[in-house]
Order: sequence, then structure tokens, then C-alpha cells
Amino acid sequence: MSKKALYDSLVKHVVENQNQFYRAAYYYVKNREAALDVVQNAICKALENYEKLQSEEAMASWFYRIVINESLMYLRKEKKYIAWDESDNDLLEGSYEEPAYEPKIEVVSKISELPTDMQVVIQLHFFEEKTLKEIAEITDTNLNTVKSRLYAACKKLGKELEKEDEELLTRYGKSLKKAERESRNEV
Amino acid sequence: MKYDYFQEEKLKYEEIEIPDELLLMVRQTVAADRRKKAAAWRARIIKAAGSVAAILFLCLTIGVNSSYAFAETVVKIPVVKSVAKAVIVRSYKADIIALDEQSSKQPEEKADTEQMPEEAVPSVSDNDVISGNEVTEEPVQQEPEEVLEGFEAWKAEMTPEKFKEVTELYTSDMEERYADTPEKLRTILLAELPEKEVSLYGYHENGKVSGTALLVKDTYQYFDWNYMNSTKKLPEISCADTDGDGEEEIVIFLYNGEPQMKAVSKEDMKAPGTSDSAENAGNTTSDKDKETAGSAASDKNMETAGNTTSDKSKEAAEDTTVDKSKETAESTGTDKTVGTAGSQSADKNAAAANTGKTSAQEGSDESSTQNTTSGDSTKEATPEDGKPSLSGNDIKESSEPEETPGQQAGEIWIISLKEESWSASVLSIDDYESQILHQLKAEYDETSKTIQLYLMEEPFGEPIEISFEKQENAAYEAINLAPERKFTTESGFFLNFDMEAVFSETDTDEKVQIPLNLNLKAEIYLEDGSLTIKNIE
Repeated sequence: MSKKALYDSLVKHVVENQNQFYRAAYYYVKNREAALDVVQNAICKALENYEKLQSEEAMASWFYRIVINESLMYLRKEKKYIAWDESDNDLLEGSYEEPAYEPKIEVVSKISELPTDMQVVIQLHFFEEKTLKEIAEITDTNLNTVKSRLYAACKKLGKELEKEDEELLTRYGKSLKKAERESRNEV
Repeated sequence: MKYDYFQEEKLKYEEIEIPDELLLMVRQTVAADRRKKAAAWRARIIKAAGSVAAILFLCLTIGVNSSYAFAETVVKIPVVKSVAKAVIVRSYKADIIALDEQSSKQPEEKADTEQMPEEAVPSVSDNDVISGNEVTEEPVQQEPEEVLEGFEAWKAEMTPEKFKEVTELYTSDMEERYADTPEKLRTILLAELPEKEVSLYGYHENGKVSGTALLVKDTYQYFDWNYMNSTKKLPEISCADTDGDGEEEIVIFLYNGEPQMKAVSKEDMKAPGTSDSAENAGNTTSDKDKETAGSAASDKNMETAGNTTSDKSKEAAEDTTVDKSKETAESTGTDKTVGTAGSQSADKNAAAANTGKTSAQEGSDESSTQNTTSGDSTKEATPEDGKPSLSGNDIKESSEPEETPGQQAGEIWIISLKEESWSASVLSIDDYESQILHQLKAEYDETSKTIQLYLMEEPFGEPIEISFEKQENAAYEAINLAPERKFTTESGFFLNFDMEAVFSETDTDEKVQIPLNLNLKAEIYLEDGSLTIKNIE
């Protein structure tokens, strides 16, 4: 595949799936403008480095990885910024009203309180319905890591949610078993 | 019924609202990257061409040094096929989504056209023209404001419907017919391709076109092409897949150039010692010379050619002149060779060589500052400047002028229509012309009284016998080559070269021009979005 064709098909992929990428970005950064920025940065980076892309097959995971990395990078920067803000809180006179924008915070937070690598696995597996193998490709980790992250995430969440939904743990169990079956089949 | 946590979360995830700006943002980002890539690609090509040129230049230097006669007669230079490929002089993307952008680009484009005659003396390079893509604002201001306003006003006013009202192709007799209603001639149809629904309109004022609009179906794009020279020859449009991507591009031939003259006349040259101070003067005068020659009739050109001399010491002065203004920091190594070559072709006067060296150094500083101002990336500018070492050489060696008689010079525009953006690139014919000129050399054999042509160092054709009165008393001076362009749409164009040998009579110092009856023709084709020299016969 020529470079030009690869570039063109990357552009096509990005344009066609832009909504998916925006959702993913928004899911992490939880802010419209920031999500747009993240997607834009991801596109720029991808188009700049498209030559590093090995094949067209790897494109979807590769680009998704860039989007997620960009989102997490944004979050890290944001965290720093907020931390700095908080130290100056006296001066800001309580202008920081983040909770007000998240009315359903009690549900969201359960996932968003997880470590980011677990969040990513949850988001990809449950929301984007990616297979564990795909998740491994996107996060550039091996399959077992993904499995253990998912398992750990479910366990953590399960503990949190135990009181609310007894079925949940069994659901996690099912989901995990399904995932394992998948991965066995693929391997 | 206990609720499914993930199901609910997933729903929420899927309900994340997609903002309207997303699509626009994605498209603009992609378009911006494409522009960037196009620029980088140009820079790479030019860099490659520059380095090949440098190598060829060295070879030539040796050739020049080894033979005095050779040095005197060469009409020279390199060009391997790869160099001959594609020098895109300027190109820009016109986003349909952001039509406004176009208006901000226009001045730049105009600046390009303005720079062309000044900078492109030895037009292999066109270096500044290329970097002119990111040209600074200053030259823009010199542009006659009212023309721009007129065109701007026209742009604001026109719609596809209004364009389509104009159906009659422009002819010069329309000026008379519509003498009373000049507003009818404000928008003129320059060319059309009805089967593809492509038409080119011009903003016409005072007998000149100062802007054009290309209408394709119901979309259109403005270009700031100044059009209409004395011949009133209209542009030609054709469709061809020039870059091999399976989609047809629109190819537009513009007969918009003014005749250019590459001659270096006697008056412009200074003695070697004075070259340092003379450099600027040398440059400007040769430019001026070009202009005057351009406006003069072609027979007058001949006269100027006759005035040209191959006085060796003056030639050397010319070298340093050209070198100095053209060389870059990158090719400083080569610069020194230039100086040396110059002095040795003069076959005396080491002083000239020294001046050449130092001035080349200065020149490199000078040109790099120039680059910083003229382009926003010096990186890009540097490789572009790599080429001129070639051009400097060009003028020096061909003490005989290469001249273009009063024909229409031209540009070929290639417009590719993509969904989100149109890209337009122009191929300057000057480049190809001089590249071919540079491949040709001629040597005069005094004993057999023949002239042998060389193409890429290989003997080309049979030796041509020359005989004329008083031949005994005449010294061979040079071969003049005058290319004449003939466009053939779709595939490219031909260059026909008229040649003449110049002798000077030793007693009277009078010049004698002997036309050479040799039909030299080069075919240049559009291929993969660039021009490729195919055949030289």
C-alpha cells in the first residue's frame, strides 16, 4: 500500500468515525471544548506520524490509542492545573464549581474514581464493545494485562455497587467469562 | 427489577451530544495537514534537486577548467531527468469551506508574480518564488490597491448564477461592440469545457484581467491570475489525470507571461576588482535589462544579443555577482568552487576568485536573512536556495545570452478537485526551458569550421558546418538559443529552439550572427502532477 493511499485511508477513517472519537474524548475530559481539542490534536498527531503506521489493519486501534492518550494527557495537565488552583483557593473565592456540572456524579464517579487504565478498559469493553484483543491492541498492552485490569475494575466496582445490585457481580462474572472465551477463540 | 449499571452507563455514553463544529474542525484539520504536506513535499523535491545540482555543478567546474574553449562555449548545465521533474513554483489549497481564506492568499500570489521577473533571472531556480508562498506582507502593499478593490468587489458580488449569464467567449472585438456598456465586459468568459461543466471567468477592467473565477458545476473558486497580454490569447482548459490517482484534474494553460530575456549585456559587467561593490548594481541592471528586453520587439532582442560579449574578465565579475546574491549557507562548499571556476574560466586574475569566495560567503548570509523574511520556515527556504548555485553558474558560463523572443510565456495550472478542498499548483515553464538549455553545450572547431552540439555531455547530432564571408577574420563567440514554446493541451508542451552562432570580427569587433538550421525540439509532458522532459530531438 502506497504512502498516499495509507494517508488517504487514514483521513477517511478519521472522518467517518469522528463521532466515536469525540465521544471517547468527551467521556474522559467531560467538556465539549476540551474534547474537540483532544480530537483535533489526535488528528494532527496521527496525520503527522502516519508513516509509522505499519498497515491499514492496525489503523483503527492505532488511532483510537492516540485519542485515548491525548485525552489522558489532557486530564493529567488539567489535574496539575486544578491542583495549582486549589492551592490558591482563597484567592479564587470558591469560583470552582465543577460538581454543579455533573448532576449524576454519584454514578459517573464510580467509574471515574477508578485508576485511568481501568477506566479505559471499562469504557472500551462495555461502551465501545471492543473485544479484549482489540483493547490490548488499543492500549498497547498484552491480553493478560487487559484481563486482569478488567477483572480488578469489575471487582472494585462490584464492591461499590454491591449493595445496589446483587446481580452485578454475576454479570461481571459472565462478562469476564465471555471475554475469556473470546480471547481463547482468537488465540 | 434491578437496574443494569453498565447498560445505563452505556446509554449515557451513547447520548453524548456531538457538537456541530466537530465536522468542520475535522475537515479543517485534515485540510491544514494536506497543505503542510504539500509544502514539505515541495521542499524535499527542491532539496533533492539542489544536491544533484551541486554534484553536477562540480562536474561542470572540472569540465570548464580543463578546456578553455569548452569554458567559453558552454551553454550549460546539468539536469538529470530526476531534476527535471517537477518544480512546483507555487501552489496553494483553496478551501471551499473557507472561501474567505482565499482573499487573504491573493496578495501573496500577486507578490509571487511580481517577484518572478526579478528573482528568476536564471530561471532554473525560482527559489524565491517558491518560498514566496509564505511571502511577507511588504511586497503586497506595493500592489496597486484599486485593482485589488475592484476584484474584491467583484468577488463579493458574483454568484454562480451571474457567472452562468455570461455565455460568449471573449474576443477582442467585444471591446468595440460593448464600448458603450463597459459593465457588460466586467465579467468575461475566458475558457470553458462544457462537457465537464467547467468554465473560467475573468474580472475584466481596462483591457486586463486582474482576477479569475473557476466555476465547476455550482462551486467556484477565485484565483488572482493576472491575465491578458498583448496577444490576447485566451487560456485553454482541459481535463487529464495528471497525477495518476484515477481522478481527472483540470489543467489550465495560461498565456499570461511577458517575454523574458536572459541575456547579460556588456554594460552590466564590471571589472573583477570592482565586483564587490558592483554586485547589486549588476543584479539590478540585468533585471532592468531583462525588462527592457521584454518589452522590446523580438528583432530588437537580437541586437541586444549582439551586444553581449564574452569578455572573460567581465564574465568573472558577473560570476561573483551572481554567486554572491544567490548562494546559500548550505552550499558554501560549492560557493568556493564557483569562485574558482569563475576565475579560471577567466584564466587569469586570482583576485576575482578571492572576491568570489568572500562575496559568496557574504551572499550566504545575505540570502539567509532574506529567507527568514520571505518565508516563515527557514528550513524550507534553505534547500530551495541550494539550487541557485546552478543558476549562478548558468549565467556565468553562458556568456552568450539565452533569449526568448516576443512570445507568450506561460504557466500551467493544475487544479485537482477534492471533496473538501481544491488544490491548485502551477508549473513554471521557465524552469523546464532553462533546464534544457543547460543540458546543451556547443563547441566550435576552428580547423574544420564546424559546431558540435552536446547534450548531457554526449555529442548530439552531426557537426554543423559553418561558412560565411570573412570567416577567417572572425572569432567564435557563442551559440544563442532561443526557445519558443508551443503548448499542446493535455499532454504538455513543446519547446522549439532557434539557434544561431555568434562570431565577432577581429578587426571591427562587429558581431555576425549565423542562424543554424538545426531543428531542436523538446517535449515536456505532464506526468504524476509534474512536468517531465521526455524527448529532445
